[in-house]
Amino acid sequence: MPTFQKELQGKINLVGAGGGNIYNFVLPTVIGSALPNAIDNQVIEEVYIICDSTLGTITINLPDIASFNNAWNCKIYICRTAGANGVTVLPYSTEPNEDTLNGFTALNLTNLYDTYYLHIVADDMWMALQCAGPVPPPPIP
Amino acid sequence: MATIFKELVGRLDLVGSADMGGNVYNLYLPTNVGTSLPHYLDNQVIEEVYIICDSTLGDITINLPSTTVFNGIWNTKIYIAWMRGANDVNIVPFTPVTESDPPQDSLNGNTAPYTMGLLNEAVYLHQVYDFTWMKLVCAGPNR
Repeated sequence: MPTFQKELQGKINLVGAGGGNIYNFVLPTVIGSALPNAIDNQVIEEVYIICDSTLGTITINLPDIASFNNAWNCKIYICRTAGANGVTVLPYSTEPNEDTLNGFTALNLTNLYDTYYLHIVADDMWMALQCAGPVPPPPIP
Repeated sequence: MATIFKELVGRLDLVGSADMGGNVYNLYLPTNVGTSLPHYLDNQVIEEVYIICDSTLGDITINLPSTTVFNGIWNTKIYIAWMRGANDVNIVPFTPVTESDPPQDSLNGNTAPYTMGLLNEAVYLHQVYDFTWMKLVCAGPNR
């Protein structure tokens, strides 16, 4: 494992669209909505992804774990803060480097304020810790 | 609490065995013994430890170090991932053997060993109080 330093943080605001918006996160290069560059022995430490699905679904494609080059210190927090459409998180799925989220191939932020805490724990697996939002109240009869 | 510096990362790949009781790994801080964690360095402390478990050949037992060895530096986070195998992976909080040993540790107040439940489970350990580990179990999304 490389020595790493706690240096960088990032905040990304994502919005949905009619037909859905797809965001691809890439390391280390900066492409579109990508995470900031890895810099020498630095690695981005914490990433906050804020999802507003008011206008449509959001799909987040995670980078290949292998692209972290064994610097597993990156923590990704994904929160659905607004909107009634779904938010889906997909691990890298291209062979032979398929990753999983605790063995699963996708996760959904089903309810408003659902939050996931993602952290790499193995060569091909993210730990996906779910903090469920409050259960919506029943409809008024 | 002591000042902490985020510097060191460690990874351990553990395998089980068909021997009676499986393979037992004792994690030590700060000395380097066997499968131990890396050394303390002055004001540095190991920040994150990744333990990858393959229990194909038998059980794995991970004996955690006494929380007293962290000397008030609670910044160490331990991630244990059960990636392969059908045998048990056991996580054991420190238990004193002699009267001169440090006090009993617990996992969220429970002094009993924890056996991981499902393949692909991940356990996140972080000291949150004297002699107490916070244990978060992540068995998969939407559970």
